[in-house]
Amino acid sequence: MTDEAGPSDDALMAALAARDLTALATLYDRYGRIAYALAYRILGEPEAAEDVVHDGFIRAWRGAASFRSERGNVRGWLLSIVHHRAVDVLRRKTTFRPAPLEAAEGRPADDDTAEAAARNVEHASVRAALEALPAAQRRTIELAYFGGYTHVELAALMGVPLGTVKGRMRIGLQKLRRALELQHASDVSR
Amino acid sequence: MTHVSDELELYALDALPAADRARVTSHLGACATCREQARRLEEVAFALPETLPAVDVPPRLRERILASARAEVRAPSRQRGTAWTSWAAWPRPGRVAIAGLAAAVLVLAAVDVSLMRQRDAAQAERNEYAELALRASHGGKNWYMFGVDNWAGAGGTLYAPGKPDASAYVVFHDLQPIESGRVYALWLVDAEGRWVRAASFTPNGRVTQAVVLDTNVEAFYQCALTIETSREGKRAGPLVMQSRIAPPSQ
Repeated sequence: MTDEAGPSDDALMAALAARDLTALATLYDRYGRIAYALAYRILGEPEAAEDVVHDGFIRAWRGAASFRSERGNVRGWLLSIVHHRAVDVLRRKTTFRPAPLEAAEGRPADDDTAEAAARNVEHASVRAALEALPAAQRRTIELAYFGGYTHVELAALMGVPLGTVKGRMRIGLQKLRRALELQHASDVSR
Repeated sequence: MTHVSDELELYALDALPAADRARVTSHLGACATCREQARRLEEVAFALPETLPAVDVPPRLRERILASARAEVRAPSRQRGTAWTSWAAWPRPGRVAIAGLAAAVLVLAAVDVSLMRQRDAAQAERNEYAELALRASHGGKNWYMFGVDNWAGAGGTLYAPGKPDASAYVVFHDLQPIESGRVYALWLVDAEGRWVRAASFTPNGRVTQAVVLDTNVEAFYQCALTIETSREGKRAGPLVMQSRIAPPSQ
């Protein structure tokens, strides 16, 4: 991603590798909000989310020299660090037991997420693509990505075979990808 | 080579247990085909946060991140100026400095637990830790170990006073609790890559913890911390933190 008002993400990473604190501040201003929203969605606790985002940016700061743009963009790299860390924290402090699906769905703000996201015009296309998925596929993807459940836990939780969980993820992600590609093509042609 | 295509959706959504994720990550490092598939799936996963509602980010978080990064910028530059250079010419810190540091650490450890849970107080202790450690070093070798992977944010500094009969010691910060029956093991690594255990200990639950070593560190170039199931024996557990390999003595 390139911010019209500032340096490109790749330029920021090069500056980070050179220990430029201003570049770190710019990177935070660019992605701190979405990183925090992600961590907060997974952990449901402001302080825990703050710790995770802090650790994520410090890991980016330390690992900037190892970043390879050909393997993905900076935003994705940063969010993957934060996501993985948040899920790890969640799994460490939570003993997963198969629970009624309703209980799992009651974890942080599923309903609120949907309502609030509907108001978020800028990212409505992603939300729409997710909402357009069959309920089982959407639920499986959301519980895995935002709920931190492993596929084995999901199978127990949802009462379906492992292969069904994998299949729902595969088909769901394929549909999401197609929807995002179509959206991107539409944006480009306008 | 056995491909991992069947697990890449799980990988992209972070739905694999840690051991399986590590195995897939290792495969991706060697397989361009699977790596490209994973990259395409991760692009979709990375779009999912866009569905989240806006939330209020704590205003202090930005400065907290910058303060941590700033501290790391300062610390290595100080180390470069002192570590490995004219070691014997520096004043000997001796046991007084160690005692001072240990006393200070004890003072920190005596702080009320509830207070230590408050973010700002903990940060202040870490800052104090850095200052104490710097004052106590008085030259000599010092190696900083950075926490890796799940232990990012933790760290420790090994100090080797320039006095033959003075003990080396390590001051850790932000050590995480570990499972019952496990210990932290501190290792020294020599020029040939041999790992020698220098200490085994359990965390004290405080922000900072000092560990005194019986081993002379002069012949070593690096130190590291792992989690082991035994107080003796070879390294077998996961790496928690590790110092950079020190340059040759000048």
